[in-house]
Amino acid sequence: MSIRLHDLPIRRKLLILTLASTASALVFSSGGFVIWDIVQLASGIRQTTQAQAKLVADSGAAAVEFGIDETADETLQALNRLDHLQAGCLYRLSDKSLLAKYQRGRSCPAALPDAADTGFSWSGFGVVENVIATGVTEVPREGKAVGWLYLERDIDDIYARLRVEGLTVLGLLLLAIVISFLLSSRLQRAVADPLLELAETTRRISSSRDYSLRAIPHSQDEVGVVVHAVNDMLDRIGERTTELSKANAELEHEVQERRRVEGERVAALERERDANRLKDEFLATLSHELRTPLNAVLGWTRVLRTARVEPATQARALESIERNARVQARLIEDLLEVSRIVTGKLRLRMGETDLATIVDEAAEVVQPAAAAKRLRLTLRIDARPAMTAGDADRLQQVVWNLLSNAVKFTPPDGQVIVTLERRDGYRLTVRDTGPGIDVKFVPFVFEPFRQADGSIGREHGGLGLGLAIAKRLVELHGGTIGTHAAAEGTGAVFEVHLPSVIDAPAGDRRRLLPRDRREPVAVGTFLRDVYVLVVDDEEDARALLETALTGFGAEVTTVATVDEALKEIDRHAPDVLLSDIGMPLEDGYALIQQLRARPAARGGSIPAIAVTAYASSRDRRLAEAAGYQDHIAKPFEPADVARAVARVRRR
Amino acid sequence: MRITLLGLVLPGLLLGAQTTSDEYDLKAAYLFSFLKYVEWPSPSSGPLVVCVTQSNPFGSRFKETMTGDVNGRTVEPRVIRSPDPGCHALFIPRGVAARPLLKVAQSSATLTVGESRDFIAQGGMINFVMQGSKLRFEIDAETAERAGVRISAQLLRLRLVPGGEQP
Repeated sequence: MSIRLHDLPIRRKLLILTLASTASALVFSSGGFVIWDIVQLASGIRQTTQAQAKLVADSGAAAVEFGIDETADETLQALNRLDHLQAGCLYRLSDKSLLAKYQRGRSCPAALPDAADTGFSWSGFGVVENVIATGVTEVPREGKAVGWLYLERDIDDIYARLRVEGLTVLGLLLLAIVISFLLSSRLQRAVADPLLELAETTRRISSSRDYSLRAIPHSQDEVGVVVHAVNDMLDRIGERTTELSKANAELEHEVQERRRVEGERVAALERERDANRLKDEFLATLSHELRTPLNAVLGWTRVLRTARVEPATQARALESIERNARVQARLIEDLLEVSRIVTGKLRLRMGETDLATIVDEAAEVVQPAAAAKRLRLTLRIDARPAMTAGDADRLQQVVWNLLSNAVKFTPPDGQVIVTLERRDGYRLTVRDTGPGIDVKFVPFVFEPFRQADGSIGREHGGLGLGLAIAKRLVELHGGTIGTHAAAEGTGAVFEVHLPSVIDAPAGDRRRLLPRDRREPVAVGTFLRDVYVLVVDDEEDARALLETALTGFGAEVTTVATVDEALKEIDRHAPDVLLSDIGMPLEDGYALIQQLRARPAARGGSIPAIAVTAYASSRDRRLAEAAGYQDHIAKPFEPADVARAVARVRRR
Repeated sequence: MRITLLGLVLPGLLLGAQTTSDEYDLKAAYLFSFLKYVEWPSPSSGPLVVCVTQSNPFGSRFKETMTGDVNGRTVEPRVIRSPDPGCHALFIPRGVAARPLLKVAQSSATLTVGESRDFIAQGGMINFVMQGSKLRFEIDAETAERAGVRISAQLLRLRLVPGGEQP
């Protein structure tokens, strides 16, 4: 039952509580009152009855004493005036036998009842009184008993009183329950409604998981406190949920970021592996490309030294050696160029340049090769002059590369068409009738070390650097280079776009061309009356330079160390100083610094040229900064050296 | 002790009065009991003197019965030869000349008890009458009143009215 009471709704509990407390309060208070009242009544009855008994006993004392029963009867008749008295009995003193009796509802016991049996019982109240003779004045006083009186009365008045009071209490109880029921429904509303509302709100929140719902406080009591506490808790839960979802989102984002980074890492790894593979391929190619011309050089050299050869064969051998050596030099130059591109050190010497002239000259260069394959080389130059801002040498390198590629890949009897038009800047298109470019290879055409055919047994030579260099050069000019992804077999199309246009009349076209190329170099006389001092620790280099410069008519002295050079200058100051850079003990920088530290009279201003295998642009700058007027990279063309000597001497 | 004694003595007295001695035993007891329902003029302290003439019909029983106290006063039995004004109560047996005794008694507030047919007429106050086997008594309250002896109404209710039955 108590468990059930626990599980009852609060309204029901409150109702039961109110009714139970009301009822019990009423029952206890009225019960107490009734008991008190009945006890009072009973004690009143006892007193009254005893007083009556005393009165009767006194008035009947003489009759008892003298045994006059009719008078005793008479005396007892007075009892009929008393309500509730049911019996009155007088007993003799001698043998306690019945002397006289008055009987209404009860009958008198034959013998005097024991005093212990008298008093209140369920049926009534009995009292035994001594019958004592009183004097004339009938003033009650001490005396000897002359007999006994037994009175018995009913207690119907007590029962009646109990009935009336019981019914009153019952009526009051009913009334109180009705009133307290009515009151409690109001009280319930004050107590239970906020609780029920709170319960409903929390139920809604727990079922909908909507933590933005709030309970509305209606009162400042404990329920109000609970409502505030719940709201606080909801606030915190809401905040925590927000934080949690934010953290979740961040976590999600982090996971995605990691996945992305991981993907990138994998891709980078892939690229690196790819790059490594390409480098391996490239190294194999490089090795092959370097060995191939070397083979011709060394082979023919051995043939020339060991066998007696016909003059015609000798001429062919020399021609082959020179060509192959040039190819190798070209390869090395390309490698350095790529290195510069990769390290971002490629610099342009910007100037006004005529693209039309550059195209003319490039075509001129490849013309012999084209003619050898019976290729028809067609130039369509719409803009002439086509002035642009750029490095003439580099632009020519680009055009030459495209043209030589076209010639190289186009089979005999094919056609190569070069178009230069002025449209949104300049557009140069080189189109051939070769096999074209594999669609799959198109995206990689301009990447360094890439070749469509990376195998050893490939048909075409080369390191695959030309287009990568060309692309970089064009981009340095702010332009773009691209190839159409045409189907294989319809020929390759390369297009270069240069945005820079200079609307100027044709300038000095000679400026645009390599200067030394225009200078005639006459063997035997070009450097007549020029005294050149050559400093190089290498015997071969000294011999080569001496032979070459002597061939152009110069007078040459060679020394192997810086110290010897300075002594020779003291002895006989040369017109031009040629010095290696990398030498044991003191290098070329030390030499030029010591020389430049001297006064002019002691050779301090003698023009000097660095001739070194340190061939990068940085090396060139270092050399010029140290005091050299020019810088020539090994291997060198004898004619180039002669021109450089002539040039620095003229200054 | 006296109650016990009385309790033992009275029943026998009340039940049977066949013999003379039994009759006088009862009359002695009645006489003693009358004292309880009578009030004398002052002084109200001191012993209650109960007298009987020299012809004492009670014999030795008289002194035996008249002992103890009534309403706080000691009862003192006394046998007299001549009228004695010191008596509170006086029993005048049959055959004794009552008049001189009654005259003294009337003036000394003495309750007079007799047993002759004309005792009331002669000026007595209470007179024993045998009614069948039962002992009853007549009372002349006016005589007693005149003498200054007050007799309780309770006792009066028990009296026989001279010359007729009490209703």
